[in-house]
Amino acid sequence: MDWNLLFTSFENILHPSVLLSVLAGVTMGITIGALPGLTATMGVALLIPFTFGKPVTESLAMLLGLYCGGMYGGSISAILIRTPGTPAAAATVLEGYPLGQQGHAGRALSMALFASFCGGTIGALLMTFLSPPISKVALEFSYVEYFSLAVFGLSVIISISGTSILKGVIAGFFGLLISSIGFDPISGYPRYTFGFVELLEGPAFIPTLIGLFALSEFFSGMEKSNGIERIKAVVRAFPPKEDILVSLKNILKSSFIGAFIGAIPGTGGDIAAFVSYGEAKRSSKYPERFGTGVIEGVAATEAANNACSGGAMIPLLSLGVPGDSVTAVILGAFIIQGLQPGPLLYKEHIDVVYNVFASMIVANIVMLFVGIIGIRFFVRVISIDKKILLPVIFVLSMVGSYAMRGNVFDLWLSLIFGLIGFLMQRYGFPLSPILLALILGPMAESNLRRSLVMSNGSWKILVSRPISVILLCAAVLSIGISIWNHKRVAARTK
Amino acid sequence: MYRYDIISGLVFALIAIYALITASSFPQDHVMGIGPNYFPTLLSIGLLLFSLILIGRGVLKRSKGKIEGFSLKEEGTKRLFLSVIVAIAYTLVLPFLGFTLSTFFVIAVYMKLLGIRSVRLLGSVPLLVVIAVYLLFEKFLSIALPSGFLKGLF
Repeated sequence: MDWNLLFTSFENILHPSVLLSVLAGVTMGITIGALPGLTATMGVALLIPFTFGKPVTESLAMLLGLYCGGMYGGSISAILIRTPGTPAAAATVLEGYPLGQQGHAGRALSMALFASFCGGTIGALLMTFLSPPISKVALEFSYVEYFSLAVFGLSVIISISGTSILKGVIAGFFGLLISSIGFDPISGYPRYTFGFVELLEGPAFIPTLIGLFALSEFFSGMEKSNGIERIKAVVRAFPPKEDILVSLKNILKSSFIGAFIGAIPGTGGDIAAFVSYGEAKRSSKYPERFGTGVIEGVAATEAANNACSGGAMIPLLSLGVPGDSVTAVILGAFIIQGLQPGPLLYKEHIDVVYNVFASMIVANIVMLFVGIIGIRFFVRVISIDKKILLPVIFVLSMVGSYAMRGNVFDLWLSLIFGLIGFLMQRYGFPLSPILLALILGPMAESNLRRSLVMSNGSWKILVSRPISVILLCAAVLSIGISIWNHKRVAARTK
Repeated sequence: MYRYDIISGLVFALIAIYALITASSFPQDHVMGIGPNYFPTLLSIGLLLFSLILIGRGVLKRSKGKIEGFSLKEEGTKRLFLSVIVAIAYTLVLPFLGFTLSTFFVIAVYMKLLGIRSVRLLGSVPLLVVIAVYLLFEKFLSIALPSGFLKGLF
């Protein structure tokens, strides 16, 4: 670590023009992240054309600011209107929305901001100091480890099943079945497409997500709405001391989980958030309260998905392999600027690498300040009369579903999943397992089949590599502990 | 509760059976023994198995929790069905009427359904929302929204 260069980089980033770029990026990121349907990936892609003519430092600082802001922004709509602004915030809905409905939106938002800041900063620090060793471990991941990681992620379904594990498992299998719609990942054979070209690549994720969470909530609100319904929410820019104390362990743990998962190419904040949520629930003294609005749940998911951004930059910078979809677009921005991320970047443009380190750390600090100011305004959303808020949620959901691909088919998809989500929820089926299955199903199938191709059909390959064995054991342990916890809670409530 | 578990179990079992039958028509990989049909078959069997357990629990009246069914006599149920019809109508007319007009009307209709009677609110809220969304998506983010027959006007 060249400390002189690091200090020079901070000097560069703290230059007013660069700082202004970071501020603009973070603000745009929070706005885009909070809007249903618009992801940080889309935001970075939209911003790239505006950064062409800017100097490298300014351009990258702005994009990284948007990346950090976008990751946090997703939690705002997740907490306030049960619509995850980005897939990475889907797990935040589980605890954040119930907190908002109990009048604690300010508390949840401030914890989301604080955890995002901590997670983002820890992720950025890990990126700064541990890039080479983490890249080395992440590179050990072959199809076998990816499959085992997916299985480990899927094991979380048991702990997010709510009151009925059976219904959670059914929802998980249903989600996995939906994830098998479209081209077969190996042979390209189309499955369950019902003749729709739009389903060849599987149901589009964003409209499905919006349908399951936002539209189902809209229909539920339309059914339940009676008289004027406003929820009073206390504005809180910073979480109370007791919330910080109770969540600190989870924030630290989730930040490391997030950064590590982020460093594995092809994963992302959504997986990191769910895994961290499962871990927070597993290690909690009161797992039975999860799902009803537990602040540690918000802290865990938000720390994880923001730490993921630092983690995802690790393989990008050191190997030239993007860690997630956002860094894949950022890779394009590097190339546009005449830079090729990878080992050569460390040799030829080490100053740029250090500027990226400094930008990520500064972006998280800027995000904290913008968030503190923003919370005052965000929290007002929840106190709008539901008679006005519900139609607005409907319109934002539909526009968000349409925006990603500009396709009317996605509106139908969103509507269908909205109705499925509404009915399932009404009859006691949790929705999160479907979402987790949709994220991890394709990863599990494609990597299992590729592993079997590698081993000539022998399943022994799954236990032939140490990381895979560890992950599979962790999955079995996670399922066992979740079932035990569930039984313990059931016995206690009897 | 147990009645609803039996019904929902039956629905999932039927989905699983359909998926299983369809998967049997997918080509099989005879070399690797695991082809495009493998995962869907495995998942359908899993879904079927757990759905049958759910039905079984319902039949044995071992279901937990409390669920209220739909009753058309209730105002909320009527509003729900109407809101589904309005959502379907909105999706149908959006490509033809365009975002601005159809969204203006859909917000006003939903507000009316929710009991807002003030004409001032029914006119101003949809207008403000349409303008805000249009400016944000079309102008600021350059994301084209359906323009319908008003194409070229904005």
